[in-house]
Amino acid sequence: MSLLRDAHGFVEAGSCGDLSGELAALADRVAAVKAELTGAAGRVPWGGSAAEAFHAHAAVRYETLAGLVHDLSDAAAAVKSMQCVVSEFAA
Amino acid sequence: MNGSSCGGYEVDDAALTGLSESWAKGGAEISAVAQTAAAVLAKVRGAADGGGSTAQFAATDTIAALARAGQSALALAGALAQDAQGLAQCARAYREAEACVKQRIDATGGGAGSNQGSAPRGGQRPNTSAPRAQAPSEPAGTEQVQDWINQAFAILEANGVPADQLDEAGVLLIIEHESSGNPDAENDWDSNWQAGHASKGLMQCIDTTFDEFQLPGHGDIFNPVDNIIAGVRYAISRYGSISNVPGVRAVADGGEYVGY
Repeated sequence: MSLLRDAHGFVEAGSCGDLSGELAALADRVAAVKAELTGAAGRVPWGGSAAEAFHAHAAVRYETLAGLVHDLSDAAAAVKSMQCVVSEFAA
Repeated sequence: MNGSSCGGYEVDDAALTGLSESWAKGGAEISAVAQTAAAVLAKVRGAADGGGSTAQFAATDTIAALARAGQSALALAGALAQDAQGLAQCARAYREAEACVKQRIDATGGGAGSNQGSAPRGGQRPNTSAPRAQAPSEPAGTEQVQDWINQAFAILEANGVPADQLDEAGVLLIIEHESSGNPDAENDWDSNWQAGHASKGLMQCIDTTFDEFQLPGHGDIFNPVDNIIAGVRYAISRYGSISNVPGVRAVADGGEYVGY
């Protein structure tokens, strides 16, 4: 029972706080950066080979940013799931 | 090379600088995300350690997911910061090249419509074998590009091209706009590429143009000197001199570069 009390305290006593929400907010922040960079690149009147190379390069960055949004959302879900599991286990 | 060989080009330096600043800001933002993710990870680890074995077990997946997100964010922040530096360097290179060609053309009384050319290159005779860029897919510095141009000019003069048709600043301007000084640049997007003729190398020549204007012993399109030799011979054949290339003339007149 002591272990369960410790685990319950881990999720209930605020040691984790609203980490899931915090991570979800981070995911939103990264999505906003992605939108900002995509918009900034689209607004520049830049053509030619160097510009094309940059846009191709930027497309990879957009994908990586989208991947980071996904990773942070996964982490938020993992925190939530962890809190549920421990709560149910301790209840 | 416009139409036959290279794509058109236009850029607003201020906008390019703005893009670099946006990219730097994005990098800083992602760096802050990485720091917050690391703090969250530390918090979960600390709580798990203090929560006994059940908490530690339950936190395993969370810790792995957080570590993955933090590492991705950190790597991305560094990459964006590097991109921003590259963009800023690119904007600087455009400004320098344009200022240089304007100065050279003004100094020699050339200008729009002039076939006199700007001052020919100096008389140095550099090495005949040009090295490939040390870092493929990376732009070379202006000094390195100038060195390649001088090597190419020496070979061109030795093959009968009059010095007054050669213009280092004009070629530098073309290179900065066409490939940003990257000898390994290969266009995989424009109309030439769609037609099955990718523009390649420093001066963005397509294979058929390169084959037509290369000199014997200089047949590697990605070799910077070989590429300049073919690109310059093509430009002189079509426009009479480097200073008469439309993009060079446009910049000399205070306008924007256009592809050749």
